[in-house]
Amino acid sequence: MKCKWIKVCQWLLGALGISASIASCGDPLGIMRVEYGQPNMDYSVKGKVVDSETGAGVPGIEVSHERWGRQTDTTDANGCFEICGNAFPAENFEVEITDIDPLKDGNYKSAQAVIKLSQVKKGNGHWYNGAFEANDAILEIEKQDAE
Amino acid sequence: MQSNVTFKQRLQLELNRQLVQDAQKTHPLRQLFWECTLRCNMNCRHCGSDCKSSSALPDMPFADFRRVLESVKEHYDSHKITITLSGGEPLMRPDLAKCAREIYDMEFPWGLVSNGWLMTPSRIEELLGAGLHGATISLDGLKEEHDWMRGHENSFEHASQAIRILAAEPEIGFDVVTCVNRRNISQLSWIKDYLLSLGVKQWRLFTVFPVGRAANDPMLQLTSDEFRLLMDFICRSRKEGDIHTNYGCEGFLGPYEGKVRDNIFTCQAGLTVASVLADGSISACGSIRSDFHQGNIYRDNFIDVWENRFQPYRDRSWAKTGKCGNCKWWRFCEGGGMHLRGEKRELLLCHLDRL
Repeated sequence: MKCKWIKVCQWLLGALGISASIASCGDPLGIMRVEYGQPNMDYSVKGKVVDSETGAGVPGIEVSHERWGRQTDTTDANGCFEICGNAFPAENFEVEITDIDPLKDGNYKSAQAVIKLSQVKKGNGHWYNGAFEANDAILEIEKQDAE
Repeated sequence: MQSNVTFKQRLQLELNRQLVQDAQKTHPLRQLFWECTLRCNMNCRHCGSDCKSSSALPDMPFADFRRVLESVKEHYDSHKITITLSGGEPLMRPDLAKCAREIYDMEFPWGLVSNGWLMTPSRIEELLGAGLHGATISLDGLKEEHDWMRGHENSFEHASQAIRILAAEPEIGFDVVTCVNRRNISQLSWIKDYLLSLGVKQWRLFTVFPVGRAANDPMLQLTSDEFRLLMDFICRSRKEGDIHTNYGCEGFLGPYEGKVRDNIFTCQAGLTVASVLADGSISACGSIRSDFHQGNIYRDNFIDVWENRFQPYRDRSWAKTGKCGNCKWWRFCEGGGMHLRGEKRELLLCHLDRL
């Protein structure tokens, strides 16, 4: 009964233009409650790391992204990589490119790149902002100068 | 003072009183401040420090605060309790993001109050990764007035940069707070235009109360005419609607109730708001005098304190003395904000006197 009365008071206050009064019975003063959660998006980035001179795919290159934890992939024999995960919403996806086996396939300089993402799935109007992807990112890397 | 309120306001006040009475009984914890450091990189004129706390006090180890949170989570729904990191300047703590991530992993939403000086893009990125939910940045005027207030050259540029960065993150709820004083009162429209140009959507204005450094600074206390000017400015700004404007939570405002804030005046201290201060003290808002502290996390169980103490906050009958004794607004004001009480529990400032 008490709870109903409180709800009536809250409703009446809301109707009288006191916007912060609209709340559940557990929140009698209508504090602006911040719901636990975090804006986020799913992302998927596929691409290829290529030699800037020859355009050929470079294997054994680590592509990493750090936003909510570190996500990495190492390019396959064709230079292809794929990273997916969930992170704070952003249109740009920053990656670090590092040659982790310089003795095997030539020695390449580390580099950074920004990949533009496109939305492929809508959000739910709440914390989830939808899915974003980039399917054909080409990342060029330069060979180290010979010593 | 204009002593009358309209019928609609009277109704709002009466309805809100019902909610306050309920909250005094149920006191659902909704906001928990953690004074995570007393260190600060500013020298603000209006600092409300109790003047007893030294910045030499080391930061509280997060493990100590985590024990409080574990206890809170055990008893209440953590999703409904926002942890607000305050200081000092919280960003002075190098491990802030690590602490915040642990808070987030315990499923508490969290936010922080900052002067913005250290809020660089990389720091924001780090905080977003730790689940930053909301933030409050202080901007006390245009360059000259802000830097004067903060006692730090270039603080205006830093605060502006922080605001720009946060405004570009649409999912983060943030507001800008401005301490209105005798130097910036005539510039409110310009400040508003500037905030709009930065992309600010929520603006909170407040006036200082005579505690700490502010007590003896005549430039910080508005005259009655200026205070009314401020109230009228907020009313106008709320009607214009281009930036959501509110007066701070302090003080009962009589004829301006329901017009300058989203809510009717209620001191939420001890009803829904608690704090853990740098020395472990358990209080309500950080600006309340130490005389009103209710315990200490190093001696007491936080839940036990929250559930069974805080009586001066939940039963204000002790405050119905002096000028409050015969005040016709007592029913709705109940002695004003707890932070407006002095060493002997006397009322330091009545906002109605300025209207």
